[in-house]
Amino acid sequence: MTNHPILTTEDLTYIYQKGSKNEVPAIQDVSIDIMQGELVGIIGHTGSGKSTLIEHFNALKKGTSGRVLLDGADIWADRSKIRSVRFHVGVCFQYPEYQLFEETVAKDIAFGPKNMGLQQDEIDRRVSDALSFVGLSDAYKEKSPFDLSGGEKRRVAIAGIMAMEPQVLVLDEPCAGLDPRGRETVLRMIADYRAKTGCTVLLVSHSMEDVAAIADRILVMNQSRVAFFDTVERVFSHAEELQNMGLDIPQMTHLLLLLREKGIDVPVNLYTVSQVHAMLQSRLKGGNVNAE
Amino acid sequence: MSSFIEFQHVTFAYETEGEQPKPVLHDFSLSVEKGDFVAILGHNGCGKSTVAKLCNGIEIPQSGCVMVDGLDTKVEDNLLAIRQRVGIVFQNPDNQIVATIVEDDVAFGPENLGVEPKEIRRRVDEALKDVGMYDHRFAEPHKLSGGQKQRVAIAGIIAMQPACIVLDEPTAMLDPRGRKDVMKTVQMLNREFGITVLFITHYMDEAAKANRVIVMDKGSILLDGVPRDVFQQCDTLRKAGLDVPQATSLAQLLKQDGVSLPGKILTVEELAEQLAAVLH
Repeated sequence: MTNHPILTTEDLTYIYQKGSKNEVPAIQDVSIDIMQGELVGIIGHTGSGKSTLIEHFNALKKGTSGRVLLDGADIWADRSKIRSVRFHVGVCFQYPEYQLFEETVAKDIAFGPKNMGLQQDEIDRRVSDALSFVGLSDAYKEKSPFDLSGGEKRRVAIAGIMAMEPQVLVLDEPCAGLDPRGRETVLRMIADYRAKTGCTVLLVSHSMEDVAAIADRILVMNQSRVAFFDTVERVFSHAEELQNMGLDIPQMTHLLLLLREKGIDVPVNLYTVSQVHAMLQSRLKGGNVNAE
Repeated sequence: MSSFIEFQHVTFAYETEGEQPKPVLHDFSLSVEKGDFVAILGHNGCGKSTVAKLCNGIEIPQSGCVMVDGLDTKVEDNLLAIRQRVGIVFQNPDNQIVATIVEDDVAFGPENLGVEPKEIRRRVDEALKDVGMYDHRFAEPHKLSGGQKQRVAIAGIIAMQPACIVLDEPTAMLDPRGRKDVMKTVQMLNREFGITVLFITHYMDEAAKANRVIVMDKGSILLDGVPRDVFQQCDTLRKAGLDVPQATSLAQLLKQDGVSLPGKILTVEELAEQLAAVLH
């Protein structure tokens, strides 16, 4: 992670049905800096504005007011360059496996790079790289995407976006509908991809636990505005407010909040079993144990 | 209580052209009591969705049999009666809504059963009230959230007044709020109306709300019991690719350290209660 902002929004606001009686603000006054190489989790319940926000990052939506800067330049400054913005910011939508359409896995992954007008050998390299990023062997190249399991389809669809080698990869709920093992595989895959490529990754999720496991910072959206944008630990120190927003906080954070309610002074910014176990161990050793 | 759905030594494999059939279930036996709330937990590919499809004759076992309320699913003449007794709700709400208006969609089932129009009207209203979607009865389904659509799908099933509902990962595509609403609806149907529920999921927090949890792995039953007992088996659950309740997991670690935490801890609330006593 660097101190160079790759993606910036300035007072970004988007209002559905602008000018009518039924104006609905989807996002309001969003001003954030996302740093080059950072992995940011975006959290918020349905209707909080998180999906509308990511649609602005690759110019699928244009703010009613405010600006979006990619690497310092306003993405709407030159409308003829909008297409290249979409190559630099790759968005993988929910249930991307429904968008698979080609005869073979290789052709499907090659669709993006082909549209970018790349040479065949460069396309081939990218297809191979992308497959390895998602943990699938070259043996998958000639398979039909429709013969794969649900989890494999999901990974092929994500590989299709990775093959465009975007500067910013945006994944909307990449773990939705997967079982615990599938979820873990996809999360590890995303973390590895970031580590290997140094790419910026934005991960939209309902699950605080998933996001906490791999993100550097968390952006919490609530009622169309930014509620928090900070490190995982600092965001979880607001556990009570998160709960009041109707968000599911990690189970361990919930445990710590309950202990606090019972008058026990514990930190609330821990979120894994091992963190809480270590904290309790040191407390119990410290002589706070009720002698039995 | 008597057995309502009975799997007797069921073997089942999907036929794929030009390939050896992959066995999904082998000598699988299970008996679900009338009025019970049973959760089936397992990772993708363990055979749990196949169990759902066998329950009302969408799939037929290759050997052994599935009996619903004493009716064999293998006998074609039984199928209508079986499907009146067992309704299935699937994972993707968008794949099971057929009409353009919510109340029309709920009426689809009873209409096909040949129920009197007056009675359909009554059942549709009742069903929509039961799932908390009556205020949306004139809405267009595509404008609803995932959780709302799933509750409409459940209303469509209960309008057929089945004795049993099988739900195959009904919450997998929903957000946390939608998941809670669906779960509450299903619990209410079981408690208030005595509907037998078979709830298939990979969320252990949902399975913990059932009376009985069955953990499946590789087409057979790995664990079977009340949630509190099943979820103590942390190692077995992890090996089956499932999550374990974090409260149980932490309690076991602390017990190994010599901390006194009596009983089988399942929920965060229970652990907080006991830990508070130790820490004070």
